[in-house]
Amino acid sequence: MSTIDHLLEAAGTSAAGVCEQVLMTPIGWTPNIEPSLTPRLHVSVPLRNDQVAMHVGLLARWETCSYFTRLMMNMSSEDPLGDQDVNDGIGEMVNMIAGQLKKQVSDKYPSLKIGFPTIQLETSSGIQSSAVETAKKPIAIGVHDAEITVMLKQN
Amino acid sequence: MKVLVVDDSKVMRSIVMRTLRQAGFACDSMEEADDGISALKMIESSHPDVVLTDWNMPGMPGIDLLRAVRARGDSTRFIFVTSEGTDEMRDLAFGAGANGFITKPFTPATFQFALGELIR
Repeated sequence: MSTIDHLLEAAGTSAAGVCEQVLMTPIGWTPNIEPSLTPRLHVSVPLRNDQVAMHVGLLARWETCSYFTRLMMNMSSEDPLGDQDVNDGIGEMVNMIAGQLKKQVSDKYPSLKIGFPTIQLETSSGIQSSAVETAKKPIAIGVHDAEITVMLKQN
Repeated sequence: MKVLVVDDSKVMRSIVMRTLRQAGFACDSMEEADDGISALKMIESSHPDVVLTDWNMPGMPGIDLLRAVRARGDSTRFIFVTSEGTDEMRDLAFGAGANGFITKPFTPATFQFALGELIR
């Protein structure tokens, strides 16, 4: 298994753990996801040490990010939720995935420093990045779908 | 008991406060700060019994907040609530004078186990 595939698998395991504990919803693995008519949000968190710079992220529709944030905050669908709250909530969720990933790969990549979440719109050409390698894994949570993303640049 | 919750994420501050209540801890007041510098001022003015703080925050990280508090001789109970639960970070936290360490994601049971007699 290549390094990027190994990281993607670890990121998927991390995401599954976070979803089960925070969203109280098991994650499902799906071969395909519905194409989105609007650009999705790409929420990513950097992890780096002297050896590597990587990002772990989640690529999802705004409605999916909003749904996750409502679950995290125990809010009903009627409760008001602004863009800032959604950005905050989904950023925190990916931050937790990054924390779990850091722990999982600490033997191979010691002393990784975790940065702050960034959120950008998915571009028409896919994830905008100068990273050398990228990989994505589709997931399903309830009726919602998303993709776990990993970007890796070895120094 | 007065609690100060420090996290740059409003969502996470809300979850921490809700989990404290779910875990059965009786809090007379809960205050919030969204960065370490604000928290440092609030600790000095409000004298909370317990500070629950994130580690990775813009400006002043949680570990620097703890060091600044301890440097002025303040022994307020300090508990980290962080996504990064490596042994290296735990050692750093307890070495700097932390009283507890909780890794996100957490449950009410996690809070009960980690805080237990410390703040009940």
